[in-house]
Amino acid sequence: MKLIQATTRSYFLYAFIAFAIGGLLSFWMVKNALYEEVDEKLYEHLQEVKKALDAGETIPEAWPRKLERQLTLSTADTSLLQWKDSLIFHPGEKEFQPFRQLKSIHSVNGKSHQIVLHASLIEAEDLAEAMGSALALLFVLLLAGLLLINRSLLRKLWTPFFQTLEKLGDFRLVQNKKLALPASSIAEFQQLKAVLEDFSAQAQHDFEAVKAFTENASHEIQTPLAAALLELDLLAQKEGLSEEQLNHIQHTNLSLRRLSRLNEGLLLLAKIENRQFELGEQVALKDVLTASVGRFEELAEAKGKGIEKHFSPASKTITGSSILLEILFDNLLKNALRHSPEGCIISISLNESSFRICNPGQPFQKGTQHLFERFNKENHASDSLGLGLAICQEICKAQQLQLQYEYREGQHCFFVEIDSV
Amino acid sequence: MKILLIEDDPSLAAIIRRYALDEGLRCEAVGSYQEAEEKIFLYPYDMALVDLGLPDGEGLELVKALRRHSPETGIIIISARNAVDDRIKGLEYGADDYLSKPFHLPELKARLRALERRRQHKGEEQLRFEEFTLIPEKHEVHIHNKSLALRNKEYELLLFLVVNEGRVLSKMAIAEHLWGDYMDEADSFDFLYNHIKNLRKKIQEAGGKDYIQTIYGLGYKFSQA
Repeated sequence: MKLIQATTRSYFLYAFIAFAIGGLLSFWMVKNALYEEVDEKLYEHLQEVKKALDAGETIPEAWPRKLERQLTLSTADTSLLQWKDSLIFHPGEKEFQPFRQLKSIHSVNGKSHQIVLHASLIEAEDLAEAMGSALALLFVLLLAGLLLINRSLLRKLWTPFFQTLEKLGDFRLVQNKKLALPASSIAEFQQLKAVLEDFSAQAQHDFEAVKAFTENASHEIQTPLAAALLELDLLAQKEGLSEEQLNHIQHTNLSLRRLSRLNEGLLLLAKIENRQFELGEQVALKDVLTASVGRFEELAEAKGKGIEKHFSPASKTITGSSILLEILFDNLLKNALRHSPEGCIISISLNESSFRICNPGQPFQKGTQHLFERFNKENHASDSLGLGLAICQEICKAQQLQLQYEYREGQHCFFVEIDSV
Repeated sequence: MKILLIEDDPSLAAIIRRYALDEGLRCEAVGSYQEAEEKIFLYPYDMALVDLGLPDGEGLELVKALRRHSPETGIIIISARNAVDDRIKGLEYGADDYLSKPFHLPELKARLRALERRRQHKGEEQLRFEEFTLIPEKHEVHIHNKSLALRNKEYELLLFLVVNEGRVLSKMAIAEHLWGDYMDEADSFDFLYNHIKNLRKKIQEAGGKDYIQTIYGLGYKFSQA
């Protein structure tokens, strides 16, 4: 819900309740006052009729307004004073109209008279109607006023807030640019600005520190590894080394190399997670993918595997990092070549809406829920570092893509939907 | 060839320097930005190996300074920061090549030689070894003045062996030279074995002597004896 909707909703609710209660209350009060007056009039009238009866005056059956009085002889002996609301047909208006009725029994000289008096309530109804429309008009006017004021207030007062929101949305740690928020005359916004600028500066500082740390750590680990490998190179040149000794050198070589690759892989992951790659490039997927496939064609041929390309002619361009996409495609291709049986076909398809790479193979024994986790390997003895798919997934995440896996018709397939980008 | 090695890690610098001297190359090593800057302004060098992370400065700036001050010097960046953006920036600043740590010494030599050919001999140099003549510019090999038809990787393999003649080369160093990081070790060792086999056969068929010795347990060596 937007800020304006939320405030409007509260105002509306309050105004509605206030008007409903106020309207009912005032209607009830006005009605009461009217009744009181009508009743008083009727009662006075009754007293006059009684007086006339007592004095033995004859009371004409029809008074000037016939409807207002009926006088009949009654057999009842009790005295009675009964108030009642009733509808009576008005011959002039040709409709039923509300009337107040007063019924009484009066005895004079042992003869009972029933007196029925009526007074029209039509004014009360008219009044209620008029009041209702006046209230409704007031309600509409007030609400419209509230909305207008609210809207202009929001626009004026909250401008710094909306500007701040926009700036925050555009803020990127990677760009290493200070967050500069608009100044405001309102204390709370000024405070918000100070707090956010403080926070962002701290975050930037921490980010730079982490970045420097990962780079330094990589450097610090890689340098002694490099030295050890070079020492082995020199050692291997010594005359008269036995095959066994050379074997030791070779194995040490391989282990050190592996360690260095692990270090590189973890560093790459850290860098992707820290968003240290510029992700604003326009990258033509087809070009990057074609280059990747080119790098692996020799390997595929040597392993007796084919790479089948189904690229749609239109080249899809996405916003991302060409470096990362290159690593993504390389890793997926390497993976497909590594885990497929000899003589098979690896198929790669790229069209407007998706990228997909499939290779035949046995289904995974361990299930696929941990497929993208680091160091999760189907076969622990295998050469692979167990970082390739984790890297692929991080690369996709960084570019708002989702790397998915499915096993279909004997094929392992990795695919990325790209239409949303 | 006179080389300036700019590397802040003393043990690494010592090994590279000793290797260069063994190979008959002149090599001066410095460990800081400032020393490097002084050397660059005082002496001419054929090659410079520049480490990017120096304690008192950014190696990329040195690359810039070198390129400005002595355009003839071949520059190879050697860095542990195997970052693609560094690589791109380095080449933009005027470096000729980028070698990420860890690397193998034979790889360093191959790069140095290739750069030397490109810079000093304008690519026209020929490499001779006994009855072999290699013309890197044209990817050609002659044995007893007769052209030998080799596939691309076989040619690269032979060139690598000839450049590092007389040294024991591990299978790993050769495989990485030929295929980079794209292949698993097990695969690349198989391919290497096949390539060596084919190369030997082709050389023998062309009347050349087989100078490729197998060093059991480690790799190969290209030498007369």
